[in-house]
Amino acid sequence: MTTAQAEIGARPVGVFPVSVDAQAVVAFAAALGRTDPSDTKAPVPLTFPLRWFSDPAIRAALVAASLPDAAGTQAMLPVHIEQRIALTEPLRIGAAYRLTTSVIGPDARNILRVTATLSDDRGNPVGSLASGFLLVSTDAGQPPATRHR
Amino acid sequence: MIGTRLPAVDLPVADHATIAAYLAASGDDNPLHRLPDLAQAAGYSDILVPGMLIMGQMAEALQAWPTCAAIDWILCRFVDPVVVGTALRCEGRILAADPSGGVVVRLTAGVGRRYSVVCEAVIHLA
Repeated sequence: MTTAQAEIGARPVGVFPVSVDAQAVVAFAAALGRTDPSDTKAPVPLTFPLRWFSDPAIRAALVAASLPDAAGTQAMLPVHIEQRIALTEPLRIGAAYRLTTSVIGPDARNILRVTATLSDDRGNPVGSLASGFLLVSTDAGQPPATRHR
Repeated sequence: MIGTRLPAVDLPVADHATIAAYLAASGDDNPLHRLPDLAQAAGYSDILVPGMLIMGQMAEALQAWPTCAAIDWILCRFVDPVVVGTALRCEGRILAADPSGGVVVRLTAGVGRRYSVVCEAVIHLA
């Protein structure tokens, strides 16, 4: 999936302030198994930005934009099937960024795509994220037990 | 350089404590990673390892490769669910030159030839 493809049909969700909190980075690096997660010279884990999607405000906005039917929200479980992360420069601990998010879908295959661009506090682009989720009905109670595709 | 293989890396095994720590650190609250009963009802033997935990470990392995100076981007597909406690091996190979001046790397994580996560990345060489 290219960025251009990802942007076709995208619905803007919002622009959110995010930051690279030092303690959060240490906890995240430790959870990945880094032997010295407190090493401030080590790069911020590449996948750290996905943590921002768990922020309550960002998550609520994404859910509202993706699944506006509240009943549907309760019945669907997102299974992560694809993730792209691109950074033009390393994230800086303590720095503030802006996350501009959009959603696409869900499509006929029940695949929801979330895209985001990351910019610094002056508006300069720093990177982009693109996530793919298969929405599985928990009413059916049968997420795919083997391969997703 | 094309065809060069990355040294195989045994990823840290994600046990229940590892997954709990990752969920706390990432904010991921997907019940398939937390609730054994739900996972079993869905057909799995136990809770599933978050795909982003595996991707994060693979990115760490790539960044730790002395030949890798920087990662421009990485795209991972989570093709096969991984049950807690599964030992995964990460392998990789340089596939091609990239117009950016870097190289395209293919990474896999799995058990033997059964891959659970398949990634492509563009990196710049040291």
